Amino acid sequence: MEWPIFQMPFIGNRMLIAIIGTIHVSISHGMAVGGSFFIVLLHYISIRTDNQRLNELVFKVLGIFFIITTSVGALTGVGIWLSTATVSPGTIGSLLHIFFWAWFTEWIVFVSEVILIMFYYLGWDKYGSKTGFKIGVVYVAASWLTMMLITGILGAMLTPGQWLATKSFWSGFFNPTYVPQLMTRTFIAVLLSIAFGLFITRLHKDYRDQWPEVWKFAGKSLLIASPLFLLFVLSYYNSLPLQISHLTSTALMTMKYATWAYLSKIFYISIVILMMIFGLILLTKKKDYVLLSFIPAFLMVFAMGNMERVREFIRKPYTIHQYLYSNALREDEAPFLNKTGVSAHLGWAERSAKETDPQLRLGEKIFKLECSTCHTYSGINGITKKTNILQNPELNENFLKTYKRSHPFMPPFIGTDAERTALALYLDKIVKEANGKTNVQPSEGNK
Amino acid sequence: MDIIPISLPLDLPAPMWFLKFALITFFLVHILFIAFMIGGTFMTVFFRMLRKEDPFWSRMAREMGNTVTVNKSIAVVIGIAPLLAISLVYTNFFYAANNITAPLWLSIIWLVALAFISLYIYKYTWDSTKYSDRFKYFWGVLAFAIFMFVPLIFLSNINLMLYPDQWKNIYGFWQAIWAPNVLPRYLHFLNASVALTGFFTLVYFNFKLKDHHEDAAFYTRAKNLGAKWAMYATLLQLLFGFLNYVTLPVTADSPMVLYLIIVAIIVAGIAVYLLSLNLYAGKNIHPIIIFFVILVVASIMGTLRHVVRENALREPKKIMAMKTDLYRAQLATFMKTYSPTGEVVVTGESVFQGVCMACHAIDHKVVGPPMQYAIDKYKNDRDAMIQFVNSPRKINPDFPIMPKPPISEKEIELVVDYLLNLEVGSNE
Repeated sequence: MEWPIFQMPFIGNRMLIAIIGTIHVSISHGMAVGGSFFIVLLHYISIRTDNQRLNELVFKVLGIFFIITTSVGALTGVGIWLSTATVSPGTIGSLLHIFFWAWFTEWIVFVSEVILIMFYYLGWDKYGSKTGFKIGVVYVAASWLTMMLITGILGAMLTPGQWLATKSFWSGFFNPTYVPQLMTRTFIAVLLSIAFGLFITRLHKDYRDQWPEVWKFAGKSLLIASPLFLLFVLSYYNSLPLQISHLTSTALMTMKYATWAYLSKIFYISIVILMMIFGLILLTKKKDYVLLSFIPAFLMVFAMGNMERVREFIRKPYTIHQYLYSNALREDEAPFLNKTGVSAHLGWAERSAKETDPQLRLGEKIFKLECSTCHTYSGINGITKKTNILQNPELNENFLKTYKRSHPFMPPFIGTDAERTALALYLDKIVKEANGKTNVQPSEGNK
Repeated sequence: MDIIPISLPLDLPAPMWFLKFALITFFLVHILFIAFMIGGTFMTVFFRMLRKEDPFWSRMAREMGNTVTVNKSIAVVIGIAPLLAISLVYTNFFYAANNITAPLWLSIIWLVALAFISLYIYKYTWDSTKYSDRFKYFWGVLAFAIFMFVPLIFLSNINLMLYPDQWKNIYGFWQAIWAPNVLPRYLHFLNASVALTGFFTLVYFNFKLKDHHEDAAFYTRAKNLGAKWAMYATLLQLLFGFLNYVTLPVTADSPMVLYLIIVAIIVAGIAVYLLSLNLYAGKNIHPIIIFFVILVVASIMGTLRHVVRENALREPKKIMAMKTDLYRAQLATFMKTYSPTGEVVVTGESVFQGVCMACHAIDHKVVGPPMQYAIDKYKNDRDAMIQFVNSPRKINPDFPIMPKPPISEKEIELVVDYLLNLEVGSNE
C-alpha cells in the first residue's frame, strides 16, 4: 500500500522481470548447477582414462562457464532483487519478512559456491587433478544446495499451503509443490548444461580430437536425464492444486492463443523426445553435427523460459497466494478499502499524474496503483489495445464490476464506486485517445 | 513526508539488533572488496598502459589483475547480505529512494555485468598477439570507467533515502546527485578506495614475498608501493573527510558523529605512523598489524554511517509509525463490524454479465460471435447448448475456440435459460 510506482515503458514491468529472470535462471541452472555436474563428470572421465587432452578441454569449457556465471549470472541474480523490488516494493518487502532466513542461508551457501568455483577454476593447475576434482565435487553439492533453498521460496509463493494459517517459515518452505518442483529444476539444469556444454565444446576447434568423447558423454546423459525430467515435470504440474491448475491452460495461451492449449499438453513430451533423439544420435554416431551444437541449447532455454512463465502466470492474481495481489494490495484489506477508498493512498501516483480534470486524474492515479504493475499503456499487454472490452464508460464500469469471473487472473478492483467510475472514465479517455477516435468503433454487426 | 509508505503488517524475521549488526558488518566486508576491486582495476589497467618503460609496472599490473578477478566476485556476492538487511531495516525508505532513481538504479545490473565481461576480455587477451593494444586497453578502461560511475548511483540512493522531505522535489538520479552530501561522500569514498587498495597491496605482496624469496626484489617494491598508497591517501582523507562532514545535513548530525570522527582520525593517525616507520625509518612492523589498525578505522566509519542514518531518519520514522498506527486502527475498527455478505444470489443475467460478456454481446461480434447466433441455433435444444458451454468445441473458423468458462454446472444452466428466454428479434 502506498508504495512508489514504477512503470517500465513499452515492455512493461512483467517483461522486464521476465527478461532478467530468464537470463539468470538459464545461467544459474545451466552453467552453475547443471554446469558443475557436466564439468565434474567429464573431469572424472578425463582422470579415469588418463586423458590429458580431454582434461584441457574440460578446463576450457569450465572457463567459459566461469566467466559467464561470475559476470552475467551473478549480476542478473542481484538484478532480480533490484528489479522486483523496484516494480513491487510491497511484494518483495513482504517476501523478505517471511523468507529472510531462507535467503540468508542461501546467501551463505552461495558465498561458498562462488569461492569454490574460484578455487576449482583458478586453481586448476595449482591443485592438480586429484584435489581439484574433490573441490569440484563440493562445488556441485553447494550449487545444488542453493537451488534447493530457493525452490522452497518460489514454491511457497505459488502454493503457500499451511503458511496462510500458521505464518511459520517451515510450513511455507516445505509446501505441497516443493519436491516435484525441485526435482524438475534439477533435471532441467542437467539438460541445460548438456546443451550449453555441446555448444561451447564445439567452439573449441583446437580440441577436435576430443569431441567424440564429449558427444558420447552428452548422448548418454541426455538419454538418462530426459525421461526423468519428463516424469518430474508432469508430477510437478499434477501437484498444483486444482484452483491453480485450472489456470495453467490460460497461462500457456491467453485467449488469443487458444490453440496453444493443445500444444501445451504435448510441449514437454516433444521436447523430451527430441532431446532423447539427439542423445541417441550423439551416442551412436559420435560425430560432429552443427545443428546439434545449438538446437538443444535453444530448445532448453525455451522450455525453461516457458516453465518460469507458466509458474509466474498461475500464481495470478496473487504474488503470495490468497494473501497479496499482483499489484501489492492485500486481500484482507480489500473490504476496508472498498468502503473507504484508495484515494488517501495515492501520494506516489500523484507524483507522475498528468491529467488535469480532477475525475480523470483520480482515474489515472488508480490506474497507476492497481493496473500498471501488469499493464502498459500501448506496449505489451497495453491497456489501450483492449478495445473489445473498453468500448465506452458504461461498459468499462460494468467490466470493472464483473471481471473477477471472466478474468480470474486479474486482481479485483479495489476502491469505492466513485473511484471505479473515475477509473472507467480515464480508461475510456486513454483508449479513445490512443485509437485516434472520439468514438471507439464497436465491432461490425452492431446495429 | 506525506508520501512515506505505511509499514508492512508483518513481524521482522530477526531481532532488529541482529539485522543492524548484519547490515554494518557485511556492508563493511562488501565495501572493502569493492575498494580493492576499484583500486586493483586502476592498477591493472593504467600501470600497464602508462608505464611501459619499466617491467615492474607491467608485472604489477598483471598480478593485480589476478586479484581483481577474485575480489570483484567476492565483492558482489558479499553485497547480497547487506542488501537484504537494509531492505528489512529501512524497508520503506530504501525502496522509495531506489524507485525515484529507478532507471539508473536498475542500470547497475547491466553496467556491472558489462564491466566484469570487459575485465575478462582484458585479462584473457593479455598475452594474445591477435589483438591490438588499443583493443585490449579499451576493455580495461571501460571496466574502470563503469567502476567509477556505479558508486555514484549507490551514494545518491543511500543519501536520498535519508531525506524523505526531498522526495517530493527529486525526480531522478541526475537531480539526486546534487544533494549537498553526495559528491563530497563520493570523493571521500574514492580516496578511501585508493588507501584501502594500498593496504591490500601491502598485505598481499607481503604474503607472496614469504613464498617466493627468489623474487624478493619485485615483491618488496610492490609492497612498498602499496604502503605509500596507503599512507598518502590516508593522510589526504583528512581533507575529504572534512568536506564530507561539513556538508552533512543538520538532521543527520549529532555529537556522537563528531566523537567517532575524532576517534577514527586518531586511529588512522596510528596507521599512518606505523606505515611511515616501515617506509622511512627502516622498521619492520608486520603488515597484518597495520591492516588490523585500518580495519578498526573502517569499522568506526561504518558505525558512524549507521549513526548518521539513524539520526536522519529519526523524525521520518516517527511520522511513518504514526501513519501506520492510524491506518491499522481504522482497519481494525472496520473489521470488527465487517462480515462478508454471505451468498450472493446468482442469476442467469449476473452470470452472463460477469462471465460471458467478456467475449460476447447479444447482437454484435466481440471476441466471440453475437449471442443472437447461439439463441437462434439452440432455441429448441437447451441441452445441446448446455453441453456446448460445458465442453466447447471449435465450430466457426472465424472465431478462436471458446475456453471452458470457470462456472458451475448450475450456473451454466441458469445462463442458458436466461439467454434462451431473452426476448430478442430473430435474424430469420
